Amino acid sequence: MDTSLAAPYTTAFGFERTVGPQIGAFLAGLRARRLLGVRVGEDRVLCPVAEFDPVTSAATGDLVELEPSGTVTAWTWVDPREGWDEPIDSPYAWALIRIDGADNTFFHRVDTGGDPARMTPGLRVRVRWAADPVGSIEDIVCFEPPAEPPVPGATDPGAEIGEPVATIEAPFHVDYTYVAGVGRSVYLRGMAERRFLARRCPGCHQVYFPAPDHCARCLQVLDAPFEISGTGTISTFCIVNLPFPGQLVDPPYVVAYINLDGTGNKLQHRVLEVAPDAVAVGMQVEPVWAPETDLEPSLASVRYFRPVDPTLRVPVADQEARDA
Amino acid sequence: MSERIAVVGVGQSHQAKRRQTSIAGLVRESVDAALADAGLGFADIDTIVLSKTPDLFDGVMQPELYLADAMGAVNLPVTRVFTGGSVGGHAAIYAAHLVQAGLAERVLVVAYSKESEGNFTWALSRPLPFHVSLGAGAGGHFSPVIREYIHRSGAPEHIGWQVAVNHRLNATRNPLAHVQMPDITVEKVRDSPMLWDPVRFLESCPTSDGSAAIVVTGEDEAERISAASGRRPAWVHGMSWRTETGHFAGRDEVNPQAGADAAADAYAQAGITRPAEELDVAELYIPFSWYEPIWLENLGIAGIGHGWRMVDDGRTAFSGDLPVNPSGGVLSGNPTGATGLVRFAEAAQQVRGLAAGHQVDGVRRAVGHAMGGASQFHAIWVVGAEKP
Repeated sequence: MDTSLAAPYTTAFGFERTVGPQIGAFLAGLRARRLLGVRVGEDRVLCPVAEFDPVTSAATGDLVELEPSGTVTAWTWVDPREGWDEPIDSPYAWALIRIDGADNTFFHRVDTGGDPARMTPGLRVRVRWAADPVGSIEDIVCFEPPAEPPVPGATDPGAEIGEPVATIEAPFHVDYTYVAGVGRSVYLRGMAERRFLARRCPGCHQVYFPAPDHCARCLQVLDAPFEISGTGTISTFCIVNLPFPGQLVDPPYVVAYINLDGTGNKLQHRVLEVAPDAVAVGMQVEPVWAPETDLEPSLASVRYFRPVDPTLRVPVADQEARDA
Repeated sequence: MSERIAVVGVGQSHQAKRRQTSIAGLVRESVDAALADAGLGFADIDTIVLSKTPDLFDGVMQPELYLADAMGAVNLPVTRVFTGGSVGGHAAIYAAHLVQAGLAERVLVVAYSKESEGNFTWALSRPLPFHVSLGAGAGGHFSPVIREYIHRSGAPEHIGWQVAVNHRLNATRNPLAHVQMPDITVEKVRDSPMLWDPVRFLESCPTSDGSAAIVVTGEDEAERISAASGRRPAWVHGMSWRTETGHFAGRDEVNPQAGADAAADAYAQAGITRPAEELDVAELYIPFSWYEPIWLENLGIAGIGHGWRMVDDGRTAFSGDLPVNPSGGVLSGNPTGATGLVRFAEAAQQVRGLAAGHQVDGVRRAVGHAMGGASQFHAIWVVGAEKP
């Protein structure tokens, strides 16, 4: 089959971002429902606050209080996207807003009640604060018209701003389609059938398992796959002693580079059914396959390798139980 | 080489497990220090090169964009170089190439890592479809290679302990270094927890927050700038970079061809035929202590199988004839995106005579070295106190 295996793949993780003193003070202002700008150079004010002047790269200066209102300079209308957690019920605009008293623009949402016709150049807008501000840019739910007169109690100039915000959560989430590649899919499909499919380079005659599509030495397309036994020799190894999240086996356990018989490269895998301190460079090992129902196009179909010599093996009831 | 290249400014931040600054603020510390060293301002810089690890390490997508103001990159060409842990070394060489090509006159090279904002181990070992999750962890690549080195060379196990002691004692001379262990001994290293057998905790590098920056120029600019600043430049005598893939059939992981070729190329440019005698100090990318003898051999400083003897004979300690990592090295501070540039910059400071507390006496020539991936990316430069 000359198609590639592919599978959905999500990578997601939370980062904790240190924001620095200037942006930290800006966020603390939002938490108190007060909008701060920052002075740069002789006579300019930036809102939102930046740590460095985007024009001169100089460090920004003193913080100044601004009215939470401004003027739309540009926008784009966005329709709700399925699966997105939107803070506004109706469609809205992403807009550049020049805050009154500032020289730059603020990128944020503008809510016109779902009506794109109300978005006009020069539209006057004011901040709509979140019900429970926490010190985040999302403390501003959006901007909305009209700017005047101010809504009583919508902002509180007397509110205590408090300590600058030190860090913010910065979650990361990307959904990918992971494509294994046509070449690698050959050996991966073999794994699902308990077969080791190796390929030879017509240029340097090196044999690869796992086999890509091209030789990494001479860049030629590898020859047709052929089956090898899957037994091999431990080229080198380490004993993992430290516990960390996601381990399938409790430490200590052996992770080895194994040179399969008849091949020139190495694969990395666990070596079990042997005491870690009895593992040695040069030890002959053989694969132990997963049960039929657990076979998959992955080296995970081999649960682990074990010594070929049965006298070197020790019972692994514990390891197997944890592994399964 | 064609045009002569020099380093005229160097800046580094303090390294720590966690720096309570924004990434931009962290970068700016080194940028300001490098410009001050060179006696230059943002208006004098005409090109910027950024060195940074993969985005997932700290979660900032396109840091070259986010940091444009912190780096002073307004209206300037910015390039991000991207070669794993060696990236800082590659960025320095790339900057030199821009000057040699006539595309720039005064290049600011900027490097940082702030891994404390994310989770380094997670970013390195995410479970991918079709892959087996082995639980090897961050040391799972290097530790087996170290075992193979020990197996081949017959080196005694105390070599790894001694390197760890040497580098940590060196770090006590360098106030910017993250790890400060003035009371370290070989016994303490020996008795520290085994992480990835044969690698122990105190034989391993930390992850650090930190930044570095250098200013690279051609000959005329270097003379003008150093005359004004009163600080002499470091002249680049040879530089090279090489790459190989991670797992090709027949690969020698202990002595990667790409590393050996890069070193041979750099020495040839510098006219060096006996590196152990002609180099006065080395700043090498040593994330685990056993990589000192491994790289001494790979870089042609020691014969194959003999690198560990240089350690055992005390030749690579601070008082030896070829001190390795007088700054404390990667074992004492590892802001990954900057680690390679720190090695290159420390080599430059040694030949400039500006390495302060960890200055080695009488350094005329020094080597800076960086390695990335599973020993796949190799960068090296030889710098000297005199023009090449």
